[in-house]
Amino acid sequence: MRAPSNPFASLEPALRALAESMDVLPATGQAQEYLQQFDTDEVYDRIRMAEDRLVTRIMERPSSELYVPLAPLPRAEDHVFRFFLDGAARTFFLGTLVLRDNSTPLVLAQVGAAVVRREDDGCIAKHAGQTQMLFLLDGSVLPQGVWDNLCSALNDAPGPLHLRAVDTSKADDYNNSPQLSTREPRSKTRHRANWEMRLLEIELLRELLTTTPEDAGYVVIDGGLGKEFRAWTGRTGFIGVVKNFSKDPVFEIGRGPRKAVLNIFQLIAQLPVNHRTLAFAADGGRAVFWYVRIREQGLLDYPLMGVVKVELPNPHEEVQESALIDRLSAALVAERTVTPHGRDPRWHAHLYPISVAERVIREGFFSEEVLRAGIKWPRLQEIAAQ
Amino acid sequence: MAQKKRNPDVGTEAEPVVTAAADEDAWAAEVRRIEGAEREGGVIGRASATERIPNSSEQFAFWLRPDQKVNPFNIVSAEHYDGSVTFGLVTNIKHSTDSPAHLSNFIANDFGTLTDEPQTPRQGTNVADVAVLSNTQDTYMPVQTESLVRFAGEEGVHLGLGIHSMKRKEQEERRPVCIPAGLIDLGNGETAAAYLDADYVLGPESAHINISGISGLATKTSYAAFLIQSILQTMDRKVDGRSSEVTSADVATIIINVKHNDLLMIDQERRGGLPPADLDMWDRLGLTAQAFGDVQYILPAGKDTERTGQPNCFGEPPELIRSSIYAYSFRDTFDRLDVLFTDIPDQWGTLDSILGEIRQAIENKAQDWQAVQTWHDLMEKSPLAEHLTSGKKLRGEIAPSSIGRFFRILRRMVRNRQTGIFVSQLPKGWTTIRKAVADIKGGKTYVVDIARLNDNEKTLVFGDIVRTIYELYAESDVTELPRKLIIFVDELNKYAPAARGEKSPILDDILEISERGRSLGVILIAAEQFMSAVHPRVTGNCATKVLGRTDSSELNEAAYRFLNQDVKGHLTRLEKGELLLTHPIYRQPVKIKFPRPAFLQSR
Repeated sequence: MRAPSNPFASLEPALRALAESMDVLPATGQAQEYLQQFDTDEVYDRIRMAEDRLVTRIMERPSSELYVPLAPLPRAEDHVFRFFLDGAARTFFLGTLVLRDNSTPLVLAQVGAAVVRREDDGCIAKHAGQTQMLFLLDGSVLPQGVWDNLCSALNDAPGPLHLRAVDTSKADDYNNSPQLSTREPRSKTRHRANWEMRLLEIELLRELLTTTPEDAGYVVIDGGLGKEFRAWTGRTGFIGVVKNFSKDPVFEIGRGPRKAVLNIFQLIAQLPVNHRTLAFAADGGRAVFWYVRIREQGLLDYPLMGVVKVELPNPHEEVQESALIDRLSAALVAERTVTPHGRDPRWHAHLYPISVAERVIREGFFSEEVLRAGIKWPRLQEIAAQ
Repeated sequence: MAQKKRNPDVGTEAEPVVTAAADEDAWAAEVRRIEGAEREGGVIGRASATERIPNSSEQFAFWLRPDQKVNPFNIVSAEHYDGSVTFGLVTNIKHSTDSPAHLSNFIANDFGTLTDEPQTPRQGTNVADVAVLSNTQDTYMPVQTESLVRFAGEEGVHLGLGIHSMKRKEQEERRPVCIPAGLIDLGNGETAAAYLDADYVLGPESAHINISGISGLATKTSYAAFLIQSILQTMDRKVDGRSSEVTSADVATIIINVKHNDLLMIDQERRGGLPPADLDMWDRLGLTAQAFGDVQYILPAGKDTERTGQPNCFGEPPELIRSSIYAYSFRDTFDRLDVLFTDIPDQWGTLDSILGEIRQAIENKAQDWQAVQTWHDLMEKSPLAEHLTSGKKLRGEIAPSSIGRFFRILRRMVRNRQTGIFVSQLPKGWTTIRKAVADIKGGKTYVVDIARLNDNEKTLVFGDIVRTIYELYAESDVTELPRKLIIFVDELNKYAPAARGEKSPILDDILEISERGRSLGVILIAAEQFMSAVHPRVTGNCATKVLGRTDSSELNEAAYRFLNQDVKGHLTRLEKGELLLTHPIYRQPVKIKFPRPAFLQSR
């Protein structure tokens, strides 16, 4: 056993490469954790549902009732969900890089994804996990030479810590969407960290789906399914569960004189506990989604609390059996015990194994204290004098 | 008695731990070997330090693998800097979860309505608190988080507790040092022998043993008897072929029997022998399960003893050949009367003056006291009695009424409410405690029975023993005394109570023994239910303390301040036959179990 050393010592050349070429306004007191400014779950769901603001197509049969009663389905009866996948990102603002009239925040991100497996007795074990550390900055602000110097300094950094520079100006599935309201550079950087986390989740899910058999049990993914999984044609048996979903959709139920139009507040407010809604089509039918109320309204602060949105991939755009949707929903209702109450404000819609997966990831991150103490800009005045 | 496997660490000529010529390097290599052996054990968890609960030089915490069980008082080893190992005593085990409040658990169970098993059990872990015993390389940096933790092996336990140093001293000085004191449960199905350092039990470093607690029928007495056997057998053990300078033949033991006939058959083997589990424990400790050898019973006279020859004791008395009967005539008692009056309030010292007057007159052979030979003479014919009838003050200071009070008390004690030990003349063949104690010989065990005596008589007999011993060892020029004398007494609180004032004849004598005994070679093994009830200077001088189950109100007393709060909590739950052992060499108390004595017990 030996005393620990600074894990970030090897980053000094990379920071020096930036500081030697650009003006640096360092974060006061070194690295500062950059806290989330917006509810990413809801924003991303809004982006995914941008094309589905009017929901008309029902994607199940034979059921046609708007609200379907469920009996909780405990794992002792039918252990439906075996794997739970989540991602986490923690970002730290290191400073602002200024070159002439342009500037970019420099953010260090720790991103990770993990899959936990639930055994027959309900105990959770880590199945797979990955973490990465990233330097996030707007590459369009940096001269190519500086960018190259930064990348090679990161590549050549000795020791076990490997960082990758990520250009936040590059497009991803979400950042050019008008639904992503933020254009503020730091928030964009934060989004980019989330996107990198999402990529890790996707990678883990692909690996899980390709290495486990069809009957290995369902995978529950925290958050909605992106287009890459709505079109997935490999092993099925996964769903996305969204805690905080878009409030934009409007539902047109029925036809003719009995047609009813409900906004999501109306739809959800009347959804009783231990019930689900009809299943609807999204993304042209490549995803089926519905809502499940897992907690009694009267015990919560707000009618929309205690409800999760469930997304099921449907690459062949088939109408799904109501029995399957019932089974998945009933198993989700049973997931309400236990909860991360007191640890997460989203506890009412949070699945405990998902919160455990998130914790698995976060426990592998460096703490803010370590980052603050470990990441130091090279002596800026010395560099300026040179 | 057939011997089974003996503890290889201590006590045999064939397998010394390290040769007598062992030097520092050899011992250091031995420590390295033990460090290596410790690392081969199964890992039970990892050390854990948090923001709020850091590890320190004194303590650390570790989480346990799922399904791993440990118990308070198990001894564990944790890996540390430079390949060293830190040993620690588990003081408590806690279960923590990720739930911030009980309310969260209630809500997590569907607002308390769910009776089924949770779909996903809450994440939780068992965390053990550990008090640091020692580090193999004297590194007292805190145990670092994530350090691997294992159950300590027997050698590790010995290293951690300091027993290893005792073994080293034993080898280097070629004399028995390690006194087996019981077995420590290591938690993994194994046991380790606990040893006491003879220098801290029999002197010169420190001495005396105090046993307290409400641990169950005859537990304290049984342990004392086991420990005396252990001490005596240890002294006869050869180290590297050499006998000790002091063997059991140089040790006399005086055991006071205070309850029933618990200790009146210690020379007889238990009928049917000991159960195998007890025999195994004796063997494991390297001791022979046997009854006491050369025993002399000193039994009190009763009211009918002169007529029947039967002493006043519970049950069948021991054989006459190994017994003698004691009693007190006035002439044998006049200089012990202060002990007899120990419990009588004497605020103004008048009783003390009267007792001094009597003693002085008899010792000076005063003419007017020549005729005072018996208790009756004292009360009816002595010059004191004349003061009572004449109404004159004794020496112009002590009023006749005080003399009257003295006689009333004395009459009650030696005539009206006595059990038979106060006699006019000592019949032929009977003895006195003073004489019996003065004749003690090494290699013998003397059992003085006081079980059926009144409280004031018990005090007199015990006080007489203590004073006689003190006179023999500290004040006389007798040279043929046993080199060591062990006294065992139960219910010490009756003779050296904490509540009694500083001035008490018997307390003074006990304090002398407890404070000077280690240099005189007089070792007190005392027992009582409540240690707080014994004078703190007496318990304070007992270097080794043994505690049985003790209730929580008692544990709040100052006498138990040396125990930490977690240990106190566990003391309330000790089982019968389990004891907590503290010893100057150990940094923390250890829980031990011990074998039942091999002699016949009535209960």
